[in-house]
Amino acid sequence: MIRLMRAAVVVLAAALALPTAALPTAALAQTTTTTTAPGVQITPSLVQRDLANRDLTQKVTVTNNTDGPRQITVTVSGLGHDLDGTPQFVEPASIAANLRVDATSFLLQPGNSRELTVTARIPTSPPSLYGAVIAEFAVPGQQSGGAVESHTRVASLFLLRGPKPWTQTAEIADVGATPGGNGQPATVFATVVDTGNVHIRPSGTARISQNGTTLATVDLPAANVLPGFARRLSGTWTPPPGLTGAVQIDVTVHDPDATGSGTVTFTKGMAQVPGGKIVQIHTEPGPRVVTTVENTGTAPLRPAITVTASEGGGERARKVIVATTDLAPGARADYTWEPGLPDGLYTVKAELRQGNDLLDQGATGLRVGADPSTTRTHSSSNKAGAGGAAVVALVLVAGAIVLAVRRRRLRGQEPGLL
Amino acid sequence: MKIRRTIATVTTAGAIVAATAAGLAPAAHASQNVDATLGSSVTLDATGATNVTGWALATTGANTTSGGTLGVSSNSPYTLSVTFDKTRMTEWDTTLGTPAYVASGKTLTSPLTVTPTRTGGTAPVPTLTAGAVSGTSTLLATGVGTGSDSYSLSLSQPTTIADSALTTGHTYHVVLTYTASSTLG
Repeated sequence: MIRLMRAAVVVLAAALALPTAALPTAALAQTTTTTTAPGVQITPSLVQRDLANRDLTQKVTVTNNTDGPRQITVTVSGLGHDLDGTPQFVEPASIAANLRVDATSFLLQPGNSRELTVTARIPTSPPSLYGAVIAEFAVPGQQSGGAVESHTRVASLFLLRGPKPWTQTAEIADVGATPGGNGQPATVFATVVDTGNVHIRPSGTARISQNGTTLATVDLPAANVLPGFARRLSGTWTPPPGLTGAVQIDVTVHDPDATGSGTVTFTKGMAQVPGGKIVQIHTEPGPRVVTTVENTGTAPLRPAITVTASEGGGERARKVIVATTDLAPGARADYTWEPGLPDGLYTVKAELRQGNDLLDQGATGLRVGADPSTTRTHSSSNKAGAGGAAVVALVLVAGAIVLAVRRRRLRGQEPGLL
Repeated sequence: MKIRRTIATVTTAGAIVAATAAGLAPAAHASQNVDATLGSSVTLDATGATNVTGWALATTGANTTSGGTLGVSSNSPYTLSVTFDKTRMTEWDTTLGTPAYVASGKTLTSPLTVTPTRTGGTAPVPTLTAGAVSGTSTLLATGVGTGSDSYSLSLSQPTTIADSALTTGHTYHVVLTYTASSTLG
């Protein structure tokens, strides 16, 4: 009570002491008190802009909040994502000419910051640019080696759209549900493919029914999808414990509009779904692109892998590999493609499907031919054919998404996707 | 992220009542607009994640060791991912002036896996174990809000009698790259 009375006195005193003139609008001293988290910081960590013109200059600050100096190496990568929206840094970056940084390597003392100037130029087509500025940091003079060598980095993501017109279109490539396990709710999802030329942020609802009776309606929250990529919009649902048989899921998505549907078989409240993962995309002299697939489901998997290589926004090569035999649960298999690409930098995307189910998606950068630059070389490079041979890159699929979607429209007439 | 607030000088009900009771007119008040920007940021603390050296693998076994710790601080949702330069630990020649992979060198049969365990903070950790993935990101953790999170990393490298022993000066090697970034939103 005493504390409250004191507060009231303070408030009253403040009210009586108020000046009648407006407060000055300038010349107020600014004081910044910072509580720093240990480590190396990058800010802003996400730059999402719609530009009135095609050029952007953006400051990105790297700060060393450790207790010792750090050697910073700055690179640029392309940007993609997996079905869950986890960023994928596409390296080497085919967009490097459109996203530049004014520094590549410097020493940063404890407590110090370095402001980088990032310049972006959005191409005419597509009218968008997706990339990342990556700051890798290490203790100066630290030797590479050891059984397991750790590299650490922070990234600033750039999602840029240029002047309109844009093409904002979407298709739903897959609708399904995955069991939660251990009494957890099931995840109901719709895999939305951005078929336009800029990123989109769709949201929607899923109506779940059985034999014409609605069981539930699930919200699918909005998420960013980059052009050419697919992302699952997902919500949770607790199915009745005894639910058995085919369940229909009808999805409606907005911004942009799209619809889709799928059927999931349940057994005693548990969704029965196929599972598969791209565990590896690597290149070999040739060049050959090898995609390793693992059956992560509980039933045999007959995978179809679509690999595309694109350059400057245009698809340059594509391969659809359809397995001729089933993969047993837990088994892995390699699928190889020799694309015959001319020298250059490519963005490679791979999709893993079984029938109409899109199971996984990956992206990487691929260099075919010699690397003309003299940029940093780790003894452990992602580039294929280590040892001085021309780095070969490769890979997978792209327009496959469009192909798959188109074929999906024909579902029923064309059994067995792809 | 922009925060806009209007700060009106204090006019609590209690103050007005008190001022009126005292025969005073209510105090005039001025307003002040305050605009401030707050940029998104991600910080990665890797002081606890050092190279693993001298890892003596058993001829047959699970071979688990600590990969150290990582800390992430962010004022927006973030992801922590790991990429591998090789899909399997690969023969590495330490006798060279600059150690390097051996051309067509031997590889271990099973992939290395990285398992994160949250040791503090608020981020949910996926139940999935990151496996060997070359060229693609593998999610280790997603932070859903602001604050700091810390993770302990466990490395597992299964071996069998089918995995070849190496000559002196050669080891099995792999590079892990941990990246902290914002989510795509």
